Amino acid sequence: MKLEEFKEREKRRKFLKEISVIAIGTAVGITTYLICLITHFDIFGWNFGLVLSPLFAGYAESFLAKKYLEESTGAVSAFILFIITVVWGFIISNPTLGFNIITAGSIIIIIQAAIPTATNYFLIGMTLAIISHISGIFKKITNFFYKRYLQLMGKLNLDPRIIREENAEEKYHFYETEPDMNHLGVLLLTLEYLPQGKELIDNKGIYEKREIFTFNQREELKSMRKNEMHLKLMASVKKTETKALYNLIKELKNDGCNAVLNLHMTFETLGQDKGENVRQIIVRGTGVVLADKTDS
Amino acid sequence: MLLSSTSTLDNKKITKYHGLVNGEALLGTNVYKDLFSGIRDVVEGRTSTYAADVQNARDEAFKSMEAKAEALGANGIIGIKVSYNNLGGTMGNTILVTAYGTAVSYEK
Repeated sequence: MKLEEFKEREKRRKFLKEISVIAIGTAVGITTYLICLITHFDIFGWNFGLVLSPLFAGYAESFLAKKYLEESTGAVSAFILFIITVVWGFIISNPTLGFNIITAGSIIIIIQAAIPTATNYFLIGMTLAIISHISGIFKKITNFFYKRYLQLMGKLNLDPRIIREENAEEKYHFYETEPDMNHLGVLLLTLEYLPQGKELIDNKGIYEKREIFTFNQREELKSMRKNEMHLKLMASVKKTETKALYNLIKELKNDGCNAVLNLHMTFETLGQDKGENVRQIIVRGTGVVLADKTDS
Repeated sequence: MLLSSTSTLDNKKITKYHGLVNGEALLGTNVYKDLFSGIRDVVEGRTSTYAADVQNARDEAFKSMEAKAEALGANGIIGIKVSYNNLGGTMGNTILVTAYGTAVSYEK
């Protein structure tokens, strides 16, 4: 009988301890929630107490249960706090977030029940996030890395670069073989009207020459690493342009023209083909025969 | 150096038509930087930087064209045309700015 009484008494004492532990946990949680509400500890209208109070309640309860009962009570206070915060935070006070069954609180309880260590890490994470939010340290860290990134980019010399013809000429000497276009017997004019002192003898119609040039994509990548890509591209543009103009002049001369009016040049990218970037240059104008105006 | 997009200089006498003069400039923007253009839009105003770069490239193309006209002994360029072309390519955006016109000598 004595043993049974003892067992019964022990059972009752354990039950009271369990109730006390849960009650203390709940009290800790409510206190946390109240502090968060009073101090308006929130961001974008969302109070941190919704997360912190079940967390602190569960943590306090687990700590006490382990110490006095040497076993878990299942973080009941966290669940109670979850119910309280959901009822108060999402229903009674009716904030902008509105009613939401699945809250961060429920997720935390699930995680806490499943993996208590993860909850501890989460608690550390939350604490760090709060410190960061208040002190702005996270922004300082990201700014530091952004500055380092900019420095690195600067060292690699990857800033937008303007390549003049002269830059490319120095490296590729494309002018050495370029014929002087203005001394080949055809006057190249971008004008829409007849030049002063000249009269039109014959209009031979529109003339157009197209030159396609390609650039191997692998070569482009290679030359980019050496920072030469744009110089090479400029050299290609100049060479192709010269070729197109030269061919236009040749055809105009063959047809007896001595000038071209309304000369246009267009540069286009046609697309990619078999690993090559295809670009074209078109020169277009109206072939004419001009003579000096005679006063009659 | 007189620069004009018109085909004539009505109130001036053109004494010589030298022919075509052109100038080109390539604006090589970088693909790695463009990856972060979204962030840079917020941080430091990517768009305004881009506009300034394109303007500089255009100025360089004009300088090159004017230098060629001067070499021909011209004191003006008429019928000027300017075009901006995206040459694309593996590297992303490569913008070619082209300026060309007819070099002339005119009586001032």
